[in-house]
Amino acid sequence: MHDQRSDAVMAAGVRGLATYVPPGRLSVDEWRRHWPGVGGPGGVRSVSVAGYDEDIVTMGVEAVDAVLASTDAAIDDIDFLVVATCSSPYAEHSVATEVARAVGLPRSAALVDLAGSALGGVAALAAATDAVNSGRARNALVVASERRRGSLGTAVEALGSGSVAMLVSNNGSVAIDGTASWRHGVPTRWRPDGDGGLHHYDDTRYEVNGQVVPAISAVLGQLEVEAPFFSAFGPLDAKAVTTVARAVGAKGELGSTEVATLGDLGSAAPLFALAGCLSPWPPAGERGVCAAVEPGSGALAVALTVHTSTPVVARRPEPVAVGYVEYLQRSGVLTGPTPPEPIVPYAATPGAARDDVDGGLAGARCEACGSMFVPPRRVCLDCGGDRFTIEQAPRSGTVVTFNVQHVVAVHPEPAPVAVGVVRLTGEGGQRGGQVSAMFCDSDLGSLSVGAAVEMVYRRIGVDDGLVKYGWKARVATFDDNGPGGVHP
Amino acid sequence: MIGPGVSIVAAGMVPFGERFESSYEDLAVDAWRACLAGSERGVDPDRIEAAWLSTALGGLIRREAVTGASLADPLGFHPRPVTRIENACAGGSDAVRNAAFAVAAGAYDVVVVLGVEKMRDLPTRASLIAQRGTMSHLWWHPRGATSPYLFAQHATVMVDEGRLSREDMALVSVKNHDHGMRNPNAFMRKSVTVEQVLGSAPVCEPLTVLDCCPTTDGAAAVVLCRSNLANEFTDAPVELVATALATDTMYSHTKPAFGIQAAPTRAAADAYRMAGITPSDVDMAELHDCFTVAELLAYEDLGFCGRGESAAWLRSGAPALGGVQPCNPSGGLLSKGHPVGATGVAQLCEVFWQLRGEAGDRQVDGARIGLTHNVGGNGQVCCVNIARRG
Repeated sequence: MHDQRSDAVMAAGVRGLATYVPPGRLSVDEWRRHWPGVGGPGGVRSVSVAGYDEDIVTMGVEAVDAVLASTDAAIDDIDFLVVATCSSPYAEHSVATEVARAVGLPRSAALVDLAGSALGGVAALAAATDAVNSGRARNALVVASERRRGSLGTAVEALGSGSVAMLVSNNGSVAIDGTASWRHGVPTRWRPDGDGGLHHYDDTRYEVNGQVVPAISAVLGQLEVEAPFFSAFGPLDAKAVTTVARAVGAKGELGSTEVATLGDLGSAAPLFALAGCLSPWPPAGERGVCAAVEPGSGALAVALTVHTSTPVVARRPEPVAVGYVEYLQRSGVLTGPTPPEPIVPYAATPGAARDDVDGGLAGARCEACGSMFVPPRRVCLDCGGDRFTIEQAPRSGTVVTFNVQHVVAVHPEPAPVAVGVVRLTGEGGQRGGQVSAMFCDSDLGSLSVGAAVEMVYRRIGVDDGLVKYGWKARVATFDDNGPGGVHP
Repeated sequence: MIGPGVSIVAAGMVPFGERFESSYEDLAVDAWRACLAGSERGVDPDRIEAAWLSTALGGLIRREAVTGASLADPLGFHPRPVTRIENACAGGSDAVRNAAFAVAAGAYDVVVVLGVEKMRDLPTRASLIAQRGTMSHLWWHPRGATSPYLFAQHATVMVDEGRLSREDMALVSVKNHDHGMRNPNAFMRKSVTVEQVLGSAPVCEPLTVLDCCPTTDGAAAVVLCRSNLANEFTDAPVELVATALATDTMYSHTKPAFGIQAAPTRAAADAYRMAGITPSDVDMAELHDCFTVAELLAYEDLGFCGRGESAAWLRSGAPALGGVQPCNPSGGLLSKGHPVGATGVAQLCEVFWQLRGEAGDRQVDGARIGLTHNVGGNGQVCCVNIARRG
């Protein structure tokens, strides 16, 4: 155990604390209506639900905004930010940079991300404390923010959303004077890579008595805080908090009241509980603990000593009921069609239907001058004639010009690909009688101006899943009697 | 002469390049301010009655339709009229053409033409390489065709006919990079050798990277006015004596021949007639060298040399600085860069500076008549503008 009570005068402490909870509330009764027979979270009546346009970054910014408004700290004096979350919108990318950008921290501020563990909130508080105590930071911001969801139809499906921000400086109102850690065994809660929902080994008695109680007992034992005035535990459901407190002999304030209405807040939960323990403000000199537990993985705790009073801000827009379907929509589980792109896939448009012609490589032959155009058109480019006969264009011809392209934007044909113009066999006129095409199946070295080619029907791309077909050209190296011949 | 006479009285541009720090609006504002300050007495912004804006990729990259307002807003130009011109890579010169006609018609006395393009808000390969919308309208347009192909298809035929060698094309890149070294507004200010051009990465055979202009951000502006008002702004106005636009069919496979471009040939002929000059009267020209072969085509299409003589004319030194008809003293699209909608306007800026003797290390001595040649798409459109020192 690391104890800094001896130099408490200059020790790091909490100078401000604010929580933010989005207005949405999903009642557990509403959830249970859709999943009758599933137990649900113990002692929890509702969970907070983030909006469509909220994530851990925006909620974190709300809490930081609230904590800075409640203290006299200037944004330019903050030189350290640590963000904890289990529900980052990114598998890889610093969300601390996102929060720092939004609140306008100095560019040189140190940024730390603690992601993927419910221990992250207390770990962030410990990291900020160490940074200030070591002199590396003058003022450190701690943010823990969550919008989690569990696997559908399980007891842990409905989890809370919310954020907490704390300002840690020398001589704070609550001194942080000890930390303790305990590694336990195998987890009972985890979220596999790429999965949107928390998985759960569904045995509450094993989880609480076999995993949580031993871990919290271990860290409290290390901290040697006799009869703490308050104990903040999380993340646990309301029933488990009571069970754990009784089992470890916790005395005094438990700070658990909001679990029943907000649900499991993940890495932010122990800090939410701490905010509860500090409202109303305890007498100066009293001591408490704040402990995070990740069932099965372990526990992490800090010891605290209360000094002068400071505001504890609770930013709580008026709650609004959210139904289960909307909860699933807000969680991204139920998604509707995406809005149409301004540049639409061509294959399914009226234009594609207009361009569709029967009978393969159709051409229009000008009745006045005999020029033939692929595809058919309305005005003859050679004589201006406007009467045409539709006919099948010849399937063979010669290369007029071609280029081997090394930088292309087609798929799946690999670069290099050759494209060019082919003059079809027979009389076609001056501007007529030719087609543009990509070359296929050709040894690119065999292409030359004047080379004989044939037109072949191929896939020419996929638009939004619709296969497009069209014509390509290949150097004629065989006939239908076998390889080696030349197409007539 | 266009109507009662139209003159260029101020010009300005931003340095072309990868302007990651500048938005589309920033580029427009910077070019506008440079232009208003771009003559001896400056131009009071309140004297400008209308604007023409050239932007080719506003719809594709910015996904924006009300591009007139997107100029009026950053400039605070409202409620004055703004007209957007889109004519592929020739839009800048066509905007000048339309603005000049409005002045010639007596609708306005003083107008501004801006060309603005923000291309580097996309990865290089996502811009003109992947812009299927411009490159592949319908299924019969060759799958995989890209911008370089639209000019390389001429190179294949010209080489096959013995009119050009691979080295001839490389020499265009060498010349224009040499010119661009002297232009502080140029993007690629480095000299290249024939060996470097031939040895750079293949793009669309026979063209390599150094045969191709870079994807560029940029903006340029000119102020046009009725010629009898020009002395209000400057003692050395430049008269716009001709402007001509011509078109060709849409697709490669409806070209009757390769190695000649019908639209530039026609636009040049019309412009010479309007100006009352012949090709040999042109003292300097800014040519649309989006790819090296395009400049060689231009020599022939514009009549600077005969058909089939472009390689010999280039090797004679005629189009280099110090030669008889310097082409692309600015460095051209290859070195200066090619922000599509801005290119034609920037070409006219260079002509303005050259005819006023303000072109510094790249000055063409005694230039009196300058020409811009601005090609759009697959040679489907071309605008030729000619200016004369007043």
